[in-house]
Amino acid sequence: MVKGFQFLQREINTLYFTSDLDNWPSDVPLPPETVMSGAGADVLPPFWKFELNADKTLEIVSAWFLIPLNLEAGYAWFSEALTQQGWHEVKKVHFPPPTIRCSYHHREYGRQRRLEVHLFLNPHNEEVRVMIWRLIEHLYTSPTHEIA
Amino acid sequence: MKLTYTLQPSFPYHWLYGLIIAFALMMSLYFIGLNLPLAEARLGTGTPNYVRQTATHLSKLNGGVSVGGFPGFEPPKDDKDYQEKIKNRSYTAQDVNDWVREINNYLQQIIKQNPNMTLKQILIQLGLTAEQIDDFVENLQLVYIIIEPMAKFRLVNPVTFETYKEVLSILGVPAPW
Repeated sequence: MVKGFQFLQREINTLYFTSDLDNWPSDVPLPPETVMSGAGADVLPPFWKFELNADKTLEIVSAWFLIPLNLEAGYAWFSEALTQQGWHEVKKVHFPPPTIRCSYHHREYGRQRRLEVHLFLNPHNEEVRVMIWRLIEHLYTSPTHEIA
Repeated sequence: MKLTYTLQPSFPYHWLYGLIIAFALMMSLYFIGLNLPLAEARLGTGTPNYVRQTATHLSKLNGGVSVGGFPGFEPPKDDKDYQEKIKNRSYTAQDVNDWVREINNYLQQIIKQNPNMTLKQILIQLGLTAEQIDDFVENLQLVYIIIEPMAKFRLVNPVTFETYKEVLSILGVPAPW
């Protein structure tokens, strides 16, 4: 087992893990002093899912965070940091009450690497929660297929 | 005499035409009164209510925001705890369990009342704009992302999550992104 990863469950072709923040993917940077959060009251560590298909493996990681920035500053921070990591924004939706949902694809890999960054402002306490979800498609050709 | 003869046989048909026109007028007034498009008449019984209830429960999981153009969820004004829970997103895993189970029930009713229709087709019939439909679908996908880890951590009943996955699949809602 990879250090820092904790096995959660296996289904027929899917493996679920959890990990601490040390294993958070480096291509999705987080603002300094960001802390783990959850959708509700429960704080959950990053959640990893590996789905093994005949032609590709899907690697999905998702997590919720609290960031020490306001909504617009948070959006600007992620926008700049993710651009430096090769992501480009393909969709941005701004909803009232304040929510910014952004979809990114990777410049080099296109739709094979997709990222969702959703920022939610709580207007009552100014807290900004961020939901991050990243998918990577690892294309796979079986060795037997190659030989044939 | 001749005049009476020609009028008498057609007399009952005037009544019938009158009834048909009156019925059509009543139906038009009913739908206009509900502020619903006439096309909605093709949807199964209770569908507008089930869709609205689904939006309300999705809203609970997302800080009380409006979902798909439906009004956001407002807890009773005299229930401070409930207001805090929604506004500060301090809901518990048990709340998630309960709310998603409710969403499952409403979505199952939508499926039952509208067999072979996708959620998108139903929302179009209800008169939602393309943007509102996207918002509705993205909120359903967001809930998928919220509850999947919770189910694997056993905070949410795995059966609730599996049911949720199944109803989304039947309604043609794609897995998150």
